[in-house]
Amino acid sequence: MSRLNAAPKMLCTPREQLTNPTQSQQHAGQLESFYIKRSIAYRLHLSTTLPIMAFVTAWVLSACLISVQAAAVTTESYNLRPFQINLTERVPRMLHLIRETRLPEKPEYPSLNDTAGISLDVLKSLRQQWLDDFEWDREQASMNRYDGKVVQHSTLTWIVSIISSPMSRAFRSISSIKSRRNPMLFR
Amino acid sequence: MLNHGWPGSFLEFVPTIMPLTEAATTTTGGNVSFHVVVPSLPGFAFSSAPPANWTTIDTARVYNTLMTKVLGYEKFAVFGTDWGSAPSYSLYESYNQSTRVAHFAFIPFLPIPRAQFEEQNITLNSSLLEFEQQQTEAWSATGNAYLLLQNTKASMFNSL
Repeated sequence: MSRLNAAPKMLCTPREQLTNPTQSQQHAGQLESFYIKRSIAYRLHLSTTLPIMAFVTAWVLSACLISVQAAAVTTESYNLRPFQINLTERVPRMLHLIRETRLPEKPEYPSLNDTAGISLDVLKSLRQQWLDDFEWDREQASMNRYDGKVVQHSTLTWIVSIISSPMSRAFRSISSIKSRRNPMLFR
Repeated sequence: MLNHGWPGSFLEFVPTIMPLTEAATTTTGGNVSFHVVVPSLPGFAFSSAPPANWTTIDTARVYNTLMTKVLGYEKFAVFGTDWGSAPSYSLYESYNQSTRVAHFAFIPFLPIPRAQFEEQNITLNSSLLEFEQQQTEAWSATGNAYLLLQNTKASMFNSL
């Protein structure tokens, strides 16, 4: 997360947009061109951040969900079903792997601290925390408090949590979705 | 709709969800509360890997359909941070009949290299701009190895 914080931010802050319209327009143009320029990188990034989670996904889907319909569909379909996270039976293997992982006894480049990657001390303490304090069932119950749905789209499947506000009028539409019993298919 | 970043997950929004759904008052005295929809971005926790040619623009398209036609929200606001800014930005750009408001905590915006400043007639005329340019250069020099690796060696990660 700290790496993310160190990543570049927008050049143009809101205050500057107010006080310097010419500059802000220029930056808006840059922003737009950035998105165009970066679209290929975005595509690649997207297709490459997923492998890590693809494993988890395949795991979860096979463990506790649905058989994915592999048929090629020309019109897009969206099928909502309830989703509950249930990875409990996989946790012992995960903890076994964490416990059995051999870490170096001492850091290779102690003078570089964490500029050369995560420090060994931090990694060790995280492992210890995972082994001693981590309670998956508690975490899982916490995540399952929300109304999880799996959206089975014709191309991909994703998870969405829909949390209705009891205060808001649009509540009706959510209730009606919950009560639908048949998969929703539409163009 | 709240779109999380990388390397995060939908859990980023756990502290935010309930306050958004509760009754609140705007600065002008209006009553406000929200339904909250939190997707797990394609390729992130529990969501499947999209096809190789999938883009964040495709993500915006299916999110818009999900929101408008499946969940029945004719209009909605989107929040994006980090990676989640990309589909959020596309939602606002391409589906602004339904995506009426966009809010970003962090748009991953890479300024052009300093070498191109002159030809594009750009001057960094504040210490903030200079600082941010330096941050970018530092990140490009020593902080983005993960990005390059994931951009160019996707199959390796898939085998881990």
